[in-house]
Amino acid sequence: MSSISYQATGVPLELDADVVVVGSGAGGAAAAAHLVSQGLSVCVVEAGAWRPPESMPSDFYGAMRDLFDDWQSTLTLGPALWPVVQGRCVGGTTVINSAICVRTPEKIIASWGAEHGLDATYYARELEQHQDALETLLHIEEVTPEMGGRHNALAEQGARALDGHDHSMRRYTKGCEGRGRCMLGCSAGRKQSLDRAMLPSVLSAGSVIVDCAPVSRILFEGRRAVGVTGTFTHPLTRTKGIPFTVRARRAVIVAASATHTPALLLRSGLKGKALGHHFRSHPGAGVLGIYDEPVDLHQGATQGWASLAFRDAGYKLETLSLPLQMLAARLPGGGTTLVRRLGQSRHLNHLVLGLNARASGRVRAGPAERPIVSYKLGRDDLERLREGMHLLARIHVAAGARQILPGITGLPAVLPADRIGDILKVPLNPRRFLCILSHLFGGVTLGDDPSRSGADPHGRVWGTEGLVVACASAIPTTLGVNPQHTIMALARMRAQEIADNRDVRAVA
Amino acid sequence: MSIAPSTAPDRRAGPLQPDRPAQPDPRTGPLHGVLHAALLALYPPVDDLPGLSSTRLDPFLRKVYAETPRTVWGALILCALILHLSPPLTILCPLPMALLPDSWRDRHVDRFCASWFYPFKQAGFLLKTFGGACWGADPQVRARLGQPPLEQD
Ligand SMILES: Cc1cc2nc3c(=O)[nH]c(=O)nc-3n(C[C@H](O)[C@H](O)[C@H](O)COP(=O)(O)OP(=O)(O)OC[C@H]3O[C@@H](n4cnc5c(N)ncnc54)[C@H](O)[C@@H]3O)c2cc1C
Ligand code: SF4
Repeated sequence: MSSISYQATGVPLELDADVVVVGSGAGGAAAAAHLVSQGLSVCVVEAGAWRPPESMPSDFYGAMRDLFDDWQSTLTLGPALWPVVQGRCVGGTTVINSAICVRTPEKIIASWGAEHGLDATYYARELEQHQDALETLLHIEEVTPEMGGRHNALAEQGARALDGHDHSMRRYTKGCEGRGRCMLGCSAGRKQSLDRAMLPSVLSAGSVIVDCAPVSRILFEGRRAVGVTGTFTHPLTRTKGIPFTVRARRAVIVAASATHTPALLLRSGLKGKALGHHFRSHPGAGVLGIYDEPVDLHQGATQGWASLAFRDAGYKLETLSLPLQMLAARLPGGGTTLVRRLGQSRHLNHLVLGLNARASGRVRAGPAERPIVSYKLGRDDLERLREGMHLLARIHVAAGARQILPGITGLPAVLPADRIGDILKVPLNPRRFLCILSHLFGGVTLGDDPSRSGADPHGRVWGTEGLVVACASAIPTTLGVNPQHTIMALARMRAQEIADNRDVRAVA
Repeated sequence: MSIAPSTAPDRRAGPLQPDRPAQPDPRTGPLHGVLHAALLALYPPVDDLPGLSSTRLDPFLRKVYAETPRTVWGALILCALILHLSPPLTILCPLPMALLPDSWRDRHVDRFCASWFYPFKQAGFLLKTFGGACWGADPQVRARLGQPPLEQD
């Protein structure tokens, strides 16, 4: 017994296991691997397809088609339409992410206690233990100068000049070749995405992974979640195959991401007051710099430099190499102006910030089983976004950039180094900025108050029995740092609680 | 542990190439030309850099048509139509883009993409994303820009 993929015809597929896990990303894979290590049988049900390194797409178009959720077409509904980027494949977003590993900040855990009624001591202890274990399990590598390439070195140099360099980047990689294509899936098989690093242990323990199988509904008997159901869907043609049903003897874990988990719960008829609410994110925005010498963004780790030095100001800074194809869309203008700018692409470096935004949005269940995400940054967030972009421009200049491409509507497309201060004068209108939402949180948040949270402090969905959330949707706040480490550790906590046979009923 | 036996094949044996059409669907409809022209205008040849016209744009568009959900294809066509019909609003010229002289067309697409009017800016972004996917994958373009060639999709 191993993995089951798209089934076009035949009798409906029926399976059962101790625990059914919906979604195989950071949360789902970590929960499943921990459950099998505790002797439980698991069936992981994943909407996307399985892609081994040798069948990773070769380019950005192929990545949109094969790895990204819905061709990256989910946009925030609000004043600005910003892409909500996540993966849809076995391994989830860990297949397309940059594998940056950061522990949960203590301050954040304390705020979960103070503001959401979680036992902060229990969380701090458990998260630390699980993150220790995860760091052994998933090879953690520090980015070396050889791995990082020139674009990361320049960022570090610029940040040092502004006292903004504080740590070396650690990533879940094994011998990263610095191919700068993490977003397209690692064809070298160096990234320890969870399809490679965790899910094989689920299979070798005799458990099952069903892919190309989007779950449409959770099945209930009374208030008890007893399984899931859906129809196989061809990952390319979207042709429907046979229906499937997977029954759970002990619990159903939903780990389908901060947008899909709340949408699935709502589709399944749950009506919790706070379900779908408190959706949060770290909107990411980038600034390009033009350098005299070639930078060659395509050489070196995709994101090999980061700084937490400005976390209190509300942003984390990183490098991000963009494949040429994505750069084409990101550069301003069209026609000869655009192509001429692309002609300078070897001289471009790209710095990004992840804004620790205070804004809170909402996820609803949309048509065709797609989530609808409403999200709007407030004035205060926009101010910090603008300030952070100015800082990125300063780092570029300190590293030797002679011109800046701020990518902000209303400013000249190209700013000379002595005019970057103009960024601080841009009106605070979200439509002027191009942000991408890639770190997502909430929607079924943990908390001790059913009117303000979707699940109790142990991830058990209010008003149900045997239904547990274990992905980013459970996180009640933003983190201010990259979330995968926290999500995996929380998922392992949930798995351990189920394995220990602790009551999986939520207080109604 | 009891997991019911299934009739499904074990698929970890090989990579997933799920019944992908061997050839892209050739029927991209009458509006194919509208999208084609919009993308060519966005990525013209400049100096020694090839434009989209010297890449394999037609097969690429057929692939996009065959592989994207109808919503994505529909959005692309809609954005291309908006680009065609908007010269009165960008360069104050009452002609569709196809009838503009080259230099005017070039000014129009540049202003369209950098527009203050949010729907134009967003439409330009979507068109540039797909045009860029084709242009940036072209071996000649990549060679000129010092990038290694891509493996076949
Ligand atoms: C480009 C990018 C770069 C990033 N880089 C980093 C980084 O370097 N470090 C870091 O810590 N974080 C990074 N992140 C964020 C991190 O990857 C995510 O926060 C994390 O993977 C989210 O975990 P999750 O379990 O909530 O969801 P996901 O990992 O997205 O997994 C959810 C899974 O559920 C599946 N699913 C959805 N709906 C259904 C359904 N109905 N039925 C069955 N399955 C379903 C999806 O297909 C998906 O596989 C990055 C994100 C992006 C987009
Ligand atoms: S930078 Fe390249 S080799 Fe390194 S993990 Fe990312 S895709 Fe793999």
